[in-house]
Amino acid sequence: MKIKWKENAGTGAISIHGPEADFAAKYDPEAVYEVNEPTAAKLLAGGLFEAAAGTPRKKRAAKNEGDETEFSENKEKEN
Amino acid sequence: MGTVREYEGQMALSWKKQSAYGTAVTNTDLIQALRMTAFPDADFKPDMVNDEEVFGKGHEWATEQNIERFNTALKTDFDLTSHSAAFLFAFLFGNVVSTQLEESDAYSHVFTPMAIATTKQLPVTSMVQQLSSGFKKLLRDMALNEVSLSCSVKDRAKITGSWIGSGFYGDSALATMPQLITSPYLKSDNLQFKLGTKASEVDRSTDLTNLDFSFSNDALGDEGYRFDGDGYRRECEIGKRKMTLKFGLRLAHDSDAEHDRLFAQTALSVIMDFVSPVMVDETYPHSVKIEIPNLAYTATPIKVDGKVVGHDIETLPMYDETLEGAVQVTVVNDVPEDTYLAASV
Repeated sequence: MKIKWKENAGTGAISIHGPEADFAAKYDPEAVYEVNEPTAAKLLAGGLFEAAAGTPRKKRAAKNEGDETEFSENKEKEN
Repeated sequence: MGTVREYEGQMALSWKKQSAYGTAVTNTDLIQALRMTAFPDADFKPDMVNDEEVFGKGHEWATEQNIERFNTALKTDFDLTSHSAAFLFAFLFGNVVSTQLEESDAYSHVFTPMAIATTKQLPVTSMVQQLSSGFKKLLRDMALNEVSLSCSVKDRAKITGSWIGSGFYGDSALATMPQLITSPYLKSDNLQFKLGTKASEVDRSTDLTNLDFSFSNDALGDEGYRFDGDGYRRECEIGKRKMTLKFGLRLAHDSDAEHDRLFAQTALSVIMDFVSPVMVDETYPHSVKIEIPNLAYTATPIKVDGKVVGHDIETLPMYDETLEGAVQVTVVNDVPEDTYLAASV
């Protein structure tokens, strides 16, 4: 399932770790993530994410070296 | 050459889990240390076999002894802090959602008992116990079997974890032992104890005399060995999880409400919210909140503490449809997201 951050999600970062989900991301309103159902359910229930369309972005490196704010990543575990 | 004193010991911990049972947390992740209130005695007792009872030797003495299986157990005792609670509830429950709070330096960590459809293997971690310059051992594959949290109005809140390892207790190459984390105590008088019907809980902190909470994974330690030769435990899975909550409430002159709740089997909710006066940053305090949204009394015997009469209440925590579980623990501290239960690689 594809999800993305809500605009003005109000957080800088989120992570989920457990047997069904292994996900970590910094806030990035442009990022689309492909995640499994348990991960999507937790993220959507948390109110910070919404369903999305588009091409999932697996990983995006910093635009400029040392620019941590532009970094986001998807560490979705393949179950 | 001297001998070692208890107070010389140190423990290195990690908030991260092992990537797999049998694969230790890397030394670069063994960077945490917490104040412990008792010496963490690593109960390293391999199962031995000998021929003492064998017939035919012509004497009563053993002539050989061999290690059959390895086993380690460890008890860790802490004062309750946002760091000790998060460490224990992470490995006790095995599931966490961590969120940075409003771009602050504070993070919320919501721990819930893990689903067991995918795996029943508890998350495991590694620890290094250094007792002297010559004794530094790696405790590997440590699974948290049980956590107990207790406090009384007269004493500081305590939290204890009972661990089961694979039996690996070998030399560690960790170069530097970490320094203790500065973490504010969550004292008994930092507790707000709320009790009542769900969503209508009432602050009963002034009536509360003591509380005891425990959660067990019923870890299947003996079932974790396999026919593969080296004698170490190969897994440590969840058995049948169990939770208990007991607390004492002073009896008010004008009320027999707790007595009635037992007979009516009223569905109740308990929120135990420890909030430190010390802030993580300017807005968010260090805190530990335990929510049990659906329980009923199993006994409310009268007890006398000094000359004060009260109830010694025992409860049965039950499944809550909304939570889709029986308990949830929320910790706020300064540990960033992607740390608790992240795999060490």
